[in-house]
Amino acid sequence: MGLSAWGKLRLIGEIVVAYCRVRLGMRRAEPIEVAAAERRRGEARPQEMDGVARDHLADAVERVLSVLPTDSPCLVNSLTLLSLLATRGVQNTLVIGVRPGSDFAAHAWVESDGRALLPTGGGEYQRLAEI
Amino acid sequence: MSTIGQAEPQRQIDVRFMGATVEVPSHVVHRSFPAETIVLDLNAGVYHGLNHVAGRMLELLAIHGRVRTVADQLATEFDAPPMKIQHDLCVVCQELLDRGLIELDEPLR
Repeated sequence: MGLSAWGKLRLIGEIVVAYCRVRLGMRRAEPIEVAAAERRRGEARPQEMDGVARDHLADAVERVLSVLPTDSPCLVNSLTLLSLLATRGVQNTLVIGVRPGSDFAAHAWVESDGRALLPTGGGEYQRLAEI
Repeated sequence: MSTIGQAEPQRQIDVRFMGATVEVPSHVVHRSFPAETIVLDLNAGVYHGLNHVAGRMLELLAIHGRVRTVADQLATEFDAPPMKIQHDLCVVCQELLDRGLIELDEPLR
């Protein structure tokens, strides 16, 4: 992303703040409401972000949040990234996927302009909902 | 994840569902897979599993709304006695209603 040291620190701070807000939000409401609330924060700092920049942002979110505690890493990562994208005026979709059957599991990721920015689970999960 | 579609023999069936019109709210999403239909209540954050028949019932309820219309179509699709279909459909409707996965347009009467 070509950020200065100060720029990187700011981004880390922004990610942590968004993470805390998401975690707090998830204690009070369901993910769909948290996603809506984060999107309502609006385009505070609209930016042009190409695919590479979006990938870098998603990568930064994953790296920072990998050292923070969470029960649902995929969902928290997704909502945090969604928050940052929304702030930058970047189109985003929260996708919920499921792995049906006796070994049922659910997974969440974020897409932007039809491209996944977070791991989709390697084809193991099939799309159930797009928010 | 809870499972819908296995009727409890001792449960009272409310046949008034046959005259009802239902709606699948927008916060309820579902998708059919080969072995089951998975339903997610986005507001509650809860997943439900429906067997093949119950999944088809939900699909048709979402399309038609009128329970009797759904019953008629299912009787044709499954080539089953109408009374049996109506019975099972009422059971599933009750379970879906209890879980907040469908809503009634009007109270049952």
